[in-house]
Amino acid sequence: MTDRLTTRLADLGRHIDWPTSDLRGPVQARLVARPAPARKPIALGATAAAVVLVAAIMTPLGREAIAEVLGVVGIEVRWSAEVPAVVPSGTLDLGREVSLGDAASSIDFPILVPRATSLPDGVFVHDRRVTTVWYPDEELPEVGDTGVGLLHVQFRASIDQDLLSKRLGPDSEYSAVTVRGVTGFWIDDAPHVVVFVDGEGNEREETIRLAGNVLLWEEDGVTHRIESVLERDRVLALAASMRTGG
Amino acid sequence: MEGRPLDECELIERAIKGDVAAYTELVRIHQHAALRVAMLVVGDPTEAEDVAQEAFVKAHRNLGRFSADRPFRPWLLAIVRNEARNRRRRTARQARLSLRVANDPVSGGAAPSPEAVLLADERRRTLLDAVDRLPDRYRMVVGCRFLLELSEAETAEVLGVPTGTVKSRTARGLDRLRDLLPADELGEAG
Repeated sequence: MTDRLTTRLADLGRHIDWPTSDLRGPVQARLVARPAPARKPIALGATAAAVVLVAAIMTPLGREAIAEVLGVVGIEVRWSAEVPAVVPSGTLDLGREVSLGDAASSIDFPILVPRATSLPDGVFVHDRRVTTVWYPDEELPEVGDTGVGLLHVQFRASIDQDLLSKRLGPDSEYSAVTVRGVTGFWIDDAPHVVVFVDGEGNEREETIRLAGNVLLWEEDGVTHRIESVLERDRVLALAASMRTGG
Repeated sequence: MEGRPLDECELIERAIKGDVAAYTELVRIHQHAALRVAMLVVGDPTEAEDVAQEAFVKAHRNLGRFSADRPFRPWLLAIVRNEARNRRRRTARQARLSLRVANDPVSGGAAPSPEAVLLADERRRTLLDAVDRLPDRYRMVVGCRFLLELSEAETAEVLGVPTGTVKSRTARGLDRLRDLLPADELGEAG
């Protein structure tokens, strides 16, 4: 039966009214105006900074804006043209699932939980990193194909400990935002890879591909990262509503 | 699709060096697949053309980071899919596909009767309607695998999920599809 269904689907595919326009002219017209890029080297390596942001920012204005913002939150910026368009992804390895109370007692900083929503559907602890997760529902669209609606990662960033690097794709847009009274960083619709670098300098890629909006800020020595596809104002409101939980 | 014809490697190398004609040739080779992926996501031909065009421009801009030992098509189609998804998110519209007017039977041999053509068309419409009602995660996998006839590996790369996920979503997607189809659609006919 499967065979028959897949055969029928293939037949269907051949009868769909697909667009057939020739894109060569329009694309060529736009390329002539913009010279082809040169290959650029990867800029990655060990660093003593708490957080490393590896970003592919093509415009000088973007670079300066980000450097300024990240300077405020104590993040070292590195620029890299080497951002994979597609990331091999796997299961979402967030660590061990625990209760909010257990997470609070195993972590040396207060865990923030939004008051504007229900309690998280899942709380995970990995090393000194806490991740609270909300699953998608009618109000909360799924982030990419992750099965997750909203992800809030909190960890204490300190020298020679976990480094976090993020690689941003070319579609990403960036802006400085005020979040909970501090300057934060909003990445709009950003396909990116998250790379944690352990104390020995080994990079561990978080094997998941996220393509949502990201809010990043540092508060009382704790770095917070919220990922979802929600609009900026909603995420800022959510962050503003956060109180210590657990 | 594993690997690619040698001349495609060369086209990419030349495009990276600034040869617009070489890149235009890559556009010619891959535009049908790009338009179909875009259409699958946005469901509107004009918008799909915009998306595919934009994706080709972005891919060109990022050729420098394309790893030459990987196949080009899934890398490109992943950019198309991202672009299409961003576009659809802005319009928040449900993507729907439609059938071509049934006047050109694909199968060879004797021309089928007008009744048979109509019936086949009606069955395709029913199937398409069921595909469009699948939750997005299944619809995309089923669409890539069977409507676009991409391989599991290509589908995985285009959608940014592991091949295991493609396998499981394919199986579940087909199950869901059977549930959505009327019982007589799954009978012996066809």
